[in-house]
Amino acid sequence: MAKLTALLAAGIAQGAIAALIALGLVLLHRTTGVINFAQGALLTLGAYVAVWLIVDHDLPTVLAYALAVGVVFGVGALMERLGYAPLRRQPILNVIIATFALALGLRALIVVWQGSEPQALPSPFSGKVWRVAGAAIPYQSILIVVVTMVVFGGLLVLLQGTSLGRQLRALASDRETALLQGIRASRLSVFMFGLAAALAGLAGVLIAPLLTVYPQLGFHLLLASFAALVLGGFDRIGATVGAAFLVTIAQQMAAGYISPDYVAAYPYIILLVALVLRPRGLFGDTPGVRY
Amino acid sequence: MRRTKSIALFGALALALLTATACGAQSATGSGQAADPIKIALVAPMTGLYTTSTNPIELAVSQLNAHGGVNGHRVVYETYDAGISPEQAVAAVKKALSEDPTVMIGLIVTAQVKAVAPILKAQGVPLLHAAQSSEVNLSQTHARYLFRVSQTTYMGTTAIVNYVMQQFKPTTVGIVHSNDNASHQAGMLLKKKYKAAGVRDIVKREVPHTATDLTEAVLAMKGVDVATIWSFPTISSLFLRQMNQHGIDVPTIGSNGDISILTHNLNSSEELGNHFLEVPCYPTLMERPEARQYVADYQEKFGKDEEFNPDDVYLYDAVKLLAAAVEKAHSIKPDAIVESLEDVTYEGVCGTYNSDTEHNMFHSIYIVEATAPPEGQPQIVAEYHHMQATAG
Repeated sequence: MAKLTALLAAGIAQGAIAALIALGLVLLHRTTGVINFAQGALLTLGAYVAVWLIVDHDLPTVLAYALAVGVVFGVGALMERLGYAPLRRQPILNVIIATFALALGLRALIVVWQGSEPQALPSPFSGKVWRVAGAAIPYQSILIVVVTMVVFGGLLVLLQGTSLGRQLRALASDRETALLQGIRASRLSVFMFGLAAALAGLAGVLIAPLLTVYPQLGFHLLLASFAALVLGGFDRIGATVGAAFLVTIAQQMAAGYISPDYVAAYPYIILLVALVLRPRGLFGDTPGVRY
Repeated sequence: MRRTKSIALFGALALALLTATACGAQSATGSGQAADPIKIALVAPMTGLYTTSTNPIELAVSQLNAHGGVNGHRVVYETYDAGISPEQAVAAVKKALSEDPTVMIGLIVTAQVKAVAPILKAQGVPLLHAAQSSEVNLSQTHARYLFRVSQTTYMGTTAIVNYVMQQFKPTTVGIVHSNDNASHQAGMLLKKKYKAAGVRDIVKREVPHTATDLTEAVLAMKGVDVATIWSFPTISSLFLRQMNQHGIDVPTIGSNGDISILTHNLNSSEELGNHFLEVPCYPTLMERPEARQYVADYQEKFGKDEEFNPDDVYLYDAVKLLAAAVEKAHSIKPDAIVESLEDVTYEGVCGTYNSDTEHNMFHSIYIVEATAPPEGQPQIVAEYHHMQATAG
């Protein structure tokens, strides 16, 4: 029982981080059509900014977390101006490749700023754990899950219950008609790049105390999110969040009860099997494209 | 008569000119020999992951030049960013070769050394490297210009198993290593050596080097007497954190990569409570007079607050070792340096350097307890010298 609880808790915490990253990817894809490969580098930036504020400048944790997320929002918005706006009329593949370049550039800047040696971000809970059913669950993991759920709920309210959300949904469902209705797509696209980046930054500040902060951190966490994105069908927020939890929990269970030797491969095995069985995503009916 | 005088005058002038030219040429040659510098190419990661500090090499070079150089040769060095990939290493080595170096120092990754070995063999330029695998032994590369100046995986795993068996006498041992080539090899060696040492049960886990959660591997360590971790510091740090979270309070012992955990305070004292690591060098903890002198000189030159990375000290020893070889050879020609390196013995900061038949020059390992009593500070608890560097 203790083993099951521990693996389940680890899967849920990992799933929450993957969900935060994937949420940003989905929102951006829905409104701009872009898959932002810089999402991992933005997560890393969030973690480094938090280290800089908390460790180097002794700022209180909550304020530092908020500032870090704010900084990453700003960097995301800047990315839209540098990497998306000039290429808006280019084939979408060009924009996606530009996000690769931005990711590499951002990572290089982080290394110039903070160096490449690993760093530690202290947890506000000082490594304390909640002991339940014989397992130990770090309070930081609980914080991650709670914050992810709150953010998920907040995003649903934003999308369903506000004017901004209606504009975003209109843009996502029919861009041309939305533009004819006077929706200012360029302003919304800046906001969406910033929001997606902020979600990655939030994932960075939340996960950093459980790991160490190093330049490749975000890239390593990005992979499970892409599996969730594909399983969720790219455009469905709830489905992507569900897929993120499904992938990471299944990964933990397979490692614990099937074989630990293929732990890195499980997300992709799950992805492959799911795509063979449900080519248009696990939860939806995303229209396919024939090339 | 006038003609005779003219001939005599011409002859005298010609003689004077010849003499002057000869003297000038001799002088130029003489001063040229004295002025020919020993050019060191530092080929190492200068950006990105594992960025190398040039402070140790700067210190060694300045000390040598302060005493008139080596046999009258000034020592100069130039850095070339070799990153950690074989492609970057080849590019850096080719760039360095275009500037005609006397010797190269650096390269920490086995695949890099393997990639540049044929180039250096063809060009005849010695390389003092710090890659750990036996794959770059002389019998494997057949490149007599390559010398290893740091520990091998074989030495590290031997020291770990020796210490664990002497200190804890375990019957069940856990091994966790990552799936990169070097860690995989170390994991295999550890398993083999623990078995040979009489350990009855071995629980082994291979984890991704990109892992962000080690719950399964950590839970598998429940019930072992000692857990061994061999991976990158990010993974080792996560392993120690999760061991502590799950209350698995057994001694843990890790590889030299764990130095970063101590130097960058990646884990709390509770998480490091029962952790040991093997290192080839840790001058601030070592009793050797050479190490104490190094720490004093380093702090005098760079200040007490300058970050001090024990991983880079091999660069200082490599330069001083090269100087000892040049002094012994009375030459800066590559073949003379290689012959001298095969024969020289040098007492360095990290230990005694002398070459075995596979061109392994370093033979010491220190076991450090991360939070030793009474002050909870790192402390050397065992030393192994004159170690065999690779399997016979």
